Amino acid sequence: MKLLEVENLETCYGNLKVLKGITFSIEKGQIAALLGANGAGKSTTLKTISGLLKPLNGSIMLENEDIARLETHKIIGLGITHVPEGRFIFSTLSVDENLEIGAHIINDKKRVLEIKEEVYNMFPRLRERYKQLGGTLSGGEQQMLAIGRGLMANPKILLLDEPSLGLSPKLFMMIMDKIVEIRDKGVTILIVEQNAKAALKISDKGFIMETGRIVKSGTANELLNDPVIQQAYLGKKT
Amino acid sequence: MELFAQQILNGLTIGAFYALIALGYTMVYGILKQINFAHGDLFMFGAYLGMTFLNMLIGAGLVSPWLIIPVCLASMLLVSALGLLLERAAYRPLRNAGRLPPIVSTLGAAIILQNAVMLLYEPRFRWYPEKISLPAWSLKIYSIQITFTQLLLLFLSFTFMTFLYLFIMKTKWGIAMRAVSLDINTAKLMGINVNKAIEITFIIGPALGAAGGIMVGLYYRQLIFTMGWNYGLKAFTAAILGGIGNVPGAVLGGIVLGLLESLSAGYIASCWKDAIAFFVLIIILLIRPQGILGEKIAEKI
Repeated sequence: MKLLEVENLETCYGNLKVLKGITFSIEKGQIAALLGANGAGKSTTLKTISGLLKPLNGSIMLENEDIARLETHKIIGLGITHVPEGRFIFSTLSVDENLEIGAHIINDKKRVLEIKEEVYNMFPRLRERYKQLGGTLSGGEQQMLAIGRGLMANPKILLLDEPSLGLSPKLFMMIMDKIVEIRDKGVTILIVEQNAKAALKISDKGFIMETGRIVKSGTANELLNDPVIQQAYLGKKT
Repeated sequence: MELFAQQILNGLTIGAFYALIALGYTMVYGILKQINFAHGDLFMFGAYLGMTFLNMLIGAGLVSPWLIIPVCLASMLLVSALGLLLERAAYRPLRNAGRLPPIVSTLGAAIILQNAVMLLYEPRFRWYPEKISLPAWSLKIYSIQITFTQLLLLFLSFTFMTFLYLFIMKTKWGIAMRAVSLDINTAKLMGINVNKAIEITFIIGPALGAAGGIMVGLYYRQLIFTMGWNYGLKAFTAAILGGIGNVPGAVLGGIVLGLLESLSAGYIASCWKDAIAFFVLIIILLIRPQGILGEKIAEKI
């Protein structure tokens, strides 16, 4: 069953067209990787899906409802969470408050506590620091907090933008494991990642973007074994 | 010593008025990074509305100090509505127009309000009705005189401020407002309706301003249509002194300013009070440009 279907999406920054008609879809319960060089339009795609940017053309269907052009808070309310690149933790709010804000759309207080408990179980490090201000956490902890905060809205689909940014290899592996764990709990994931190899290894399918277009898509295995992709994105010498 | 204690008490009272008004400036700045130059005039309008309502009730034959409560609530409500209207008319259309246009549009709104009140109430001093006055009872501790009015107004201001603080720190929409003030785009990603958070700001700020207006009316009993400018300037300064955007800072700034004024009035001369108060403010801001409670936390990446 398709959860998210993006069709012919075009987005502009001023006069500059950054997305030139992209089409892709994600099945429910999958991890999909959106890959490509800097400036290919990956973050723009995520921002358009979450409504931070308004598309010029095209549609974004979430379970048969077109969410393109809705206001961001309505899109989040429908079950899409976007963990932005650079994390954007609320630096002067505590870890606990950051998580509470993530659950803004959930009105049932008991439910919020339940989800928060789940997030703390997933990231025990956050529980240890629940009173600490977000801005004083290390980069890895901030990434955990950003993902945890994203989960607080109990999303159907989680958009992750560059979760590896500035992380040590060890922390990066840990975050990737957590992403699989989140998928196993039933959350569909769209991940944008510079480390294409690591992203494809945990993904079900992948899309390669170049200058505003999807130039290649397929299952993760197909992409991992494609010689052209290997050379261009996976750092393999031929 | 007596003079000192008495002036501290007076300063606290005036400071509480400044603090109530300063909260409106600091909240709007916090959430929109804009200065609402019409806020002083919303305060002034609240003071005039209070007077009108009291006169209407007296005209209807009702005379009791308890009437101040419904009058205060009604004025707060109306001024909140005016605040919302201001947001719609002067801010929202200019949300993406940069920082300067909204300053001009709120200055325009300030001029409109001031002139409207001047035309409605005539350009002369007006007085709060003598018939409705708070009990003249006063307390003497050693030789410091504390009037009932002072006690009541201090109590009311600090009750309002405590409620505001609890709202901002503990409730869902309070936390949402803080999130919007920290980072508007990330707040959107949390599913927060940013427009609603801004509207709440424009309800609470003007409501507190109107309450401040009525308190000033009850304390000094005398109103003039230009008073929004004077009090607004002081409260704006208080907000900056405390660290603009910071709610407890606005309260602290208001009180520091009130104390500075009343102490310089008591020890030097009342005609020098503004000059001295502002001189000390300049010194404080030279040492702490971010204000007393304003602080920046280093962000680790």
